[in-house]
Amino acid sequence: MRRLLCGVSLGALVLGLAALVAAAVPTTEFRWAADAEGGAPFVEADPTQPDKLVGFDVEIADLIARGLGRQASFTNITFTSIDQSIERGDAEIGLGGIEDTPARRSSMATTLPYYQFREVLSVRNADASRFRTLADLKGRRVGTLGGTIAYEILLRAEREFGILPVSYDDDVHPYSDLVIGRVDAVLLDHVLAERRARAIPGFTIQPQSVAVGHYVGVLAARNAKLRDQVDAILRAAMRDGTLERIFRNWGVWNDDQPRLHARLLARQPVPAVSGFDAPDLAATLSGWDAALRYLPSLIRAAVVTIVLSCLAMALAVVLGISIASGRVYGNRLTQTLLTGYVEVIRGTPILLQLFVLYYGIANWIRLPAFVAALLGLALNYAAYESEIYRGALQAVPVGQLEAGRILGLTERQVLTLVRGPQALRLALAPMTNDFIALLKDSSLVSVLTVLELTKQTQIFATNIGSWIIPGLLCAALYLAMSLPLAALARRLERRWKAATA
Amino acid sequence: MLLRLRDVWLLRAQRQVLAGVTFHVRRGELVALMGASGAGKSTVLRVIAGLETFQSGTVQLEDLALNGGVCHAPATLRSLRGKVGMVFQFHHLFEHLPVIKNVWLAPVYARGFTLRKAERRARDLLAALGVEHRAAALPCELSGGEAQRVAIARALAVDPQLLLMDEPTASLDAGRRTELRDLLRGLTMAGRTLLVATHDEEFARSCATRVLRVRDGLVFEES
Repeated sequence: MRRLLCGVSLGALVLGLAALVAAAVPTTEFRWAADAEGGAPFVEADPTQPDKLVGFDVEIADLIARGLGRQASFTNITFTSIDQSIERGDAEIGLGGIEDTPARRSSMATTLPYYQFREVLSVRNADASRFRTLADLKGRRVGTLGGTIAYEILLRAEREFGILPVSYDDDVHPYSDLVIGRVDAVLLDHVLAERRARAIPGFTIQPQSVAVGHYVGVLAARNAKLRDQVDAILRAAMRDGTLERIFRNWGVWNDDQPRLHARLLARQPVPAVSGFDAPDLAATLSGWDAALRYLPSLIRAAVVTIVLSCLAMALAVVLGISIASGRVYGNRLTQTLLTGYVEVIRGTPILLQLFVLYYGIANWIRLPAFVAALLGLALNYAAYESEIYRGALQAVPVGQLEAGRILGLTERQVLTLVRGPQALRLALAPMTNDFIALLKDSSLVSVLTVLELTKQTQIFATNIGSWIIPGLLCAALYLAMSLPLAALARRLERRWKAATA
Repeated sequence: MLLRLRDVWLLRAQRQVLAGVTFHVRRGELVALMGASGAGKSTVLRVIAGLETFQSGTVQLEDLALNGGVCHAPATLRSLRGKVGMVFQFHHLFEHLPVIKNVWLAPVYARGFTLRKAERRARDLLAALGVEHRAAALPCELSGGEAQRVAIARALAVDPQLLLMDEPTASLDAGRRTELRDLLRGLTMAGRTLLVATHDEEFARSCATRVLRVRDGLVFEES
């Protein structure tokens, strides 16, 4: 029996090694990446066969793979980190509505621009005649996808026309928020705008385009040779009409495309972005210049982070104390309900709770983003805080309570004068820990369009095409917030230590 | 008669701790309650203080009665605690509050004294007990003897007619024990009634006006 087991495990080892060796040998696979969350017409799961991908970028990837004599193999990568992921070699090429920007051209090997899009403004039907351009939107909230050319345009319009840019993580919620009035306009490329217009009624796409841009494939700078091969394949597909067929098939072919293809085939230069003062893009600045340029907005975002965290923690502490008191002192029903609350909140992702608060209940209660973020964090942390306080309340020696009772204090007075203050001292260290965790968890509220430190850093990093300087600045700002807090807590602890010794 | 216990029975965790305790304490007495460890001395004190419910019998403190077999009503406990104070064996001073606040907390919050009046009274009590110089200290900074005096001051601050003390000599050396004896005598002289649980024979004999013995869940009068 033992020998048999040995044999089996040896066999498994050999098989495992063989698999490892196979993985290390260069394959004929052409690894391409995109964010499948981007959806149609770029890349989406086939509605009839969810494990199969469809979209024009899928067909372009196949086209390139065939041209290289290889087999296309897909990797999913988050849209906002596609450059970094390609650079570190997770895939050979990134596709899926990747914008051609001066930053990408300088830091990555980009393919020739294979599709031309227009940045268009969408407004509610009722506003179609008054909000025609960005200049008409002074003091209004305008949404877009963070880290895109459109976002850069909005930042510029913020300075020029006083609009208020709102950054989203996806391209669905800008339009649903537009319809319910959370934003007054959305600036995104026409491909995204048109597909949303088919699904969400109630908004109009203005005909005048704000800027013109292009989609490219992105490769690591060291892969310039492969990029040249890809360019040759794309040119051939432009010449023989394959690309046109693909775009027509997905309903995105228009008059701009033949003109673009003609210029590319004639080897004329095509600017990354036009109609918008491209040199002004942060992308063209050096790292430190860009850092200086972004520092004020990073500090503003850090203020949002600290204000949001402090308010959320204060609320979580008050709620947590109430929940803990209810669980220790309440009747059976109160205890059951509060235990249920704590378990549901602790047992579900905070991201889901934030989504429900902001988007899920928007048809009944339309919370402003900051309020939803504050409530979401506070309600979530209250569940954790309450457990700390419950433990701390139960850790106060019963002799302390009896001493209070015998002196004639009521149960409520025993709680507020003796048990509570002593429990608070016991809870201080875990509370500090939680507050520092909250400071960083607050970055999750960027999904509700609240522009806090991590999101601002991400936008910064995407725009300059590097995480090094933005990452360092971001870490420094978080530490500048959390270190004094930890020091303060240590001082309080030292002062109280004697009292609980 | 200040205090009278009649046939008090208490069963705790399947163990008969008190099995028909009957005794009385007259006003102005200093009664020592003696017995081996675990005999039930502390339990008797806790029953009188309303910290324990019991199965049957009665505890009568002046016109106030605690009955066995029921939970004490909050109103009963409130008036009971206006009459009886307790000094615990381990003092149980409020660890997070300085000495002076330990003493004035209950007068202010339970008796409605003004802070000024309560604080003055607290200082007087601490001075009378010789620990006024420790007013600002935290309980953990006190010696065993100091902590006990503060605990006595805290109990006296609400002016109870009956003061219960649990093993007051446990944390004291011989010198301190003599001081405590003089202190307790002074208290009875000033008209207070004390019931002191102790296993310290010598201490009990030197200061008590009467000695009771707890054995097998019963209380016997020493002849």
